[in-house]
Amino acid sequence: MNPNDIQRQIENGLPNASVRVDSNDNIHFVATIISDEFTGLSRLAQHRLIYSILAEDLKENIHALQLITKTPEENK
Amino acid sequence: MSTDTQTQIQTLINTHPVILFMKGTEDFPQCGFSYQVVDILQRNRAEFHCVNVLEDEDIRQGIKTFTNWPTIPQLYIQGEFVGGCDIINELHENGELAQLLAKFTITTA
Repeated sequence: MNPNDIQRQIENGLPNASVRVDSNDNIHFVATIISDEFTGLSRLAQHRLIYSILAEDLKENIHALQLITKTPEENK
Repeated sequence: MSTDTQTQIQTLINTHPVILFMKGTEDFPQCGFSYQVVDILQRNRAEFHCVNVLEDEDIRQGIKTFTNWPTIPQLYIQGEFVGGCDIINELHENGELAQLLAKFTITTA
């Protein structure tokens, strides 16, 4: 799995989100996601939303994923 | 997940006010994320119990279903799931974790 696959997967699940996925080994990934769907959600709920989108991949293909989630306001 | 795994997990969480489901042990964490959370708990001088999920595949998979959270480590405080590595890092940085752990710090007599 590579960063683009993960980015596309998240974008499919969160159509108007801004998504960036980085990795230097295709094993450890850092996903930075800004979406207004996070507004009003706790950080825990925000991460759960992303984990539900990536549920299948997290079982096998993704071993280490760091999540950075923000609402548009937090990103100003 | 079998009912006795679920019961086993529930009992662990009820028994220990601060409990970390991790890969490895406090002294020998086997993964970077587990190591980070152990380090943060130690820096907060917290008294916590560790469960090495690498020693029990049923718990390793069961805790993910139990919490509805697909990754390890997982930290529970007073029976409540607090988060994995990312969230514990953030709570530590903004001081919320210290408050959650206030009652569970090691008291040196």
